Amino acid sequence: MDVPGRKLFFDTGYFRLSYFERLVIKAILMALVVCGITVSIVFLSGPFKGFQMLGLLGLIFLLDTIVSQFRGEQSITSKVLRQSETGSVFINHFVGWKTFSLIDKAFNRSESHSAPFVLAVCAELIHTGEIKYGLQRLGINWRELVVAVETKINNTSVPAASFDGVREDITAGRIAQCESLVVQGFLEALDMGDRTVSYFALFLGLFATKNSDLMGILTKLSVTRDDIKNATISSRLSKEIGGDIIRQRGLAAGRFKKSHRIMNRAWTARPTPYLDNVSEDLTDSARHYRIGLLVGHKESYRQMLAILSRDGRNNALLVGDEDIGRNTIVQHLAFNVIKDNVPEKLFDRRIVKLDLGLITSGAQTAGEVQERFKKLTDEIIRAGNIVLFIPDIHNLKFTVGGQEMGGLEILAPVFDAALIPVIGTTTPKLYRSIIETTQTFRDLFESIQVEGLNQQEATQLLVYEAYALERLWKITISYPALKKIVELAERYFRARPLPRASLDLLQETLAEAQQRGQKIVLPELVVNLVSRKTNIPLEATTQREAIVLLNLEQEIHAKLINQEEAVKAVSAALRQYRVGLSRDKGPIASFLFVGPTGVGKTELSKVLCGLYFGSEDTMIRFDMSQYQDDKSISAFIGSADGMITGMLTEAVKRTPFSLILLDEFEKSYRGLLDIFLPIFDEGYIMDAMGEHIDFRNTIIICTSNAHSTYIKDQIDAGKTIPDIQGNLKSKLTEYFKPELLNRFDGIIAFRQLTREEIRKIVVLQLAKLKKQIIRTQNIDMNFTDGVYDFICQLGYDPVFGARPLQGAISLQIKDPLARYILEGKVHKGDSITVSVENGDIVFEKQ
Amino acid sequence: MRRSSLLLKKLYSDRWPRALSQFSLWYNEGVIDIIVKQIIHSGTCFIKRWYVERTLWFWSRISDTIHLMDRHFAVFINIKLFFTPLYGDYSFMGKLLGPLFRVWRVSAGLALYSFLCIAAAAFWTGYCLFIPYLIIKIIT
Repeated sequence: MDVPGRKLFFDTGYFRLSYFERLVIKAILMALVVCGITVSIVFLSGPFKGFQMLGLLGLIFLLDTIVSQFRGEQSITSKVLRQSETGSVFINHFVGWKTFSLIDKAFNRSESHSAPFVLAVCAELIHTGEIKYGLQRLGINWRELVVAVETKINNTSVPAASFDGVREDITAGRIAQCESLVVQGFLEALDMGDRTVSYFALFLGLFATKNSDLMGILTKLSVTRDDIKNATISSRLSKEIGGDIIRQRGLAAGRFKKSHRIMNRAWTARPTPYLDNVSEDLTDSARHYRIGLLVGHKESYRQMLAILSRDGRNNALLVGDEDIGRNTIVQHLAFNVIKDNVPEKLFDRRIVKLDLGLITSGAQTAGEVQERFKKLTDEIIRAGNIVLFIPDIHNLKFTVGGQEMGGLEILAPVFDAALIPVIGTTTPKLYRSIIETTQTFRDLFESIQVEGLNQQEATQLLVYEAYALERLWKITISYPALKKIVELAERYFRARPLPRASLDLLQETLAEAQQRGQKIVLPELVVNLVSRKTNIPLEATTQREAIVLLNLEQEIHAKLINQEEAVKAVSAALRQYRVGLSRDKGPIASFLFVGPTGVGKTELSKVLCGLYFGSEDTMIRFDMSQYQDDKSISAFIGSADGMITGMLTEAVKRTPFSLILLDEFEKSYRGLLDIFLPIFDEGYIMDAMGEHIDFRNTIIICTSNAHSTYIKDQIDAGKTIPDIQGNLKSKLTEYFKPELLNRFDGIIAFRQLTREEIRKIVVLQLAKLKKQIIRTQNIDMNFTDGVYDFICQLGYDPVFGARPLQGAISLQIKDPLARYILEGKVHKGDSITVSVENGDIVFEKQ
Repeated sequence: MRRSSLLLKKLYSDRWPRALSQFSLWYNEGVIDIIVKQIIHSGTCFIKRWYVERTLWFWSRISDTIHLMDRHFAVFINIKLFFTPLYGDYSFMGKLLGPLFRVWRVSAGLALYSFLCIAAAAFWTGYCLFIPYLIIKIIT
């Protein structure tokens, strides 16, 4: 079979024979082996020397052959890899007996039951222990998969052919599929670095056949090739490395004693008694318990190695956030030093981690500290084989009683002369504030930016950690759950970088599983936990929630009159968000509601908040007319010195899933509006302290009265809202920057309310009042139609919309009712009718 | 049709009843081919495994063992730094004692490695000669 760039052969001569012939071959070979072994044993135990030798030779040959058949006659080595790219490869030698038997069994089944060959192979493979365990680790319902495959086999059996020609075609097709599958399995084995074509390689090869029946089943059960491949590779590696992680934990917990090697192997160094008291030798740890497993950070490690190997200015500074892996990079160096896997300059060195606290503890004056540092540096220079690692190196500048302790002054000339290679670590903030501002410090080191791990790397690390944690907690963690942990940690816990955020979430998930008595952690548990921690609805919609979302427009209109365009827009945005169709970047949605006062812009936000976000009180609301100077920016996002906390950023941190209402948007300070550009675009903003604030789970509604007159005139001229949207946007550039307007998901015009609509609002408001009175006074109120008309007449104003209604209701109904109650004319449990007589509101007790 | 099959076919059709010759013909077409091929292949692979693969494996293990031992005995490092004084002592005595000490250490290390290599070579030679020895013993 020709694969692009390769010639791969799988001899299918065996499969071209009939079932009976294949059986005869197996029987004969088995008989030959059994006879051979028996005869060899008989000869070996016989009296004749020649026959004994013959028996021994026979036994060696047969046992060796049997073992190689089990393991695969040949191994897939780098030579085979090269050969597969340039010449041809005969694959049969790389298929072990187990795998060949499985293929044979599947072929027999396919032949005898006229079943599709690929499905028959799948059915055999999923019954093997390895594949079954692997599928269960992926959280896949194994029984469901078995039933699905068996059902498909039974339903798609090819009908028995009555003509020889057709039968031959079917057989030829089956053989071609067999060859194709084994070749694909070989390629997968090559890719995974397997020794022979294993069950897993064959299973991955099934995906490459692209059999529609099989793909349908696997896709439905969320079985993907990449997941299986990554999970297989990861679990194999974790078995090798997981033990080291357990030992590392033991080392950290002090359960192991490490011996300290004073002298280097070349005996050119000198002892360092003072240094040994104020430091930790990482190469000792590496020598015994293998610290420094490094996942990711390859480029940072390579840069560090290059800097340390230089003749001059060989001091490296790792700049990155806490828990991002800076210390691990240095530990990995220690590990490579003991394996002699470093450049010559670093050969046979000790990597020593200095504890600045131990050096400076108890020192009263700067002079004392300087003496200690001098003693330290002299010892290190004399030793000649030390690479000094100083974590949080910015502490060299720390002060006591307002005075600098002087560590930097002593060390600077030593570092500058490149007498000792030095590795330091610091955070970006402290680098900018302390190191960059000190020229001495800045010039001594070459900085290396250490970025967080990406999702794939973090998942890989989590697989290793999971191996150790599973033993501790006695809980199995499925691979999809690990992926989900990394995904959600990166998205919702950005305060800590990967992998720290994901490691913490993993621990919390295990605790949660233990509390619930679960033995396997599935993605659903992770989603549930994160959803509760962040108050963001991450789980799939329940039926109840689905009903609410599907009828959201009706629900809103039960409390808000008209403004269909706006209601439709916000409802659509929420539905898309809950099923995962909203855009990855940006908030759930951002709207600019433009219209005259009192037409429902703010009311819509309140109703939506009450319906979907819990209650109206959870709404984050800002009256932007109060922020009209440049100090407003600090009020919203905080100040760099931390003295002012940002109201907006803190509110979103507390309640990441919320509705943000920015009233009177056009009245705010112009510079303040610019902070919303990245929020609407990317869905996040950095506050004044540099913290990442995530707005991706918020709906942002801005209201404005800008150009209400234009809207009114257009409506009066007979235009509809959709007609005026286009022109409205260009007119709004008088108030807002075009780049800001462009970032809104919708700019929706609100029109004036008609008298009929005002009457409907009156009905709603009085119904609300009725509920309030029942709740507070247990008095039932009934309103006649006359009351609605009366209040509508008083409260209607085309300019001010529905705003005067509140005043009218308060003056005409609430105040007289309050007097009525206080005068004792009505008591709890009574029922009153409110009507209009001679232009006045009248209360009549029933 | 293969030559062996043709010969066998001729043999059987000349010497045996028709039914049996048909039966034999059917067998000749593939079954015996595969069995014979498998037996020959097993034999050649055995020789290849015994001499080529195992030799490569054995000597790579010996090489790894020596590298591992050198992490403790540091023979090659001491050869490289032969004239470097011990403990950074660059005085006259230090420069004198350094090579003297290293001579002893390098010699001891090399002797150990040599012993290991000789033992390995002896074992490997015995291993290679084992099969011919058996064959000779069988013949004689």
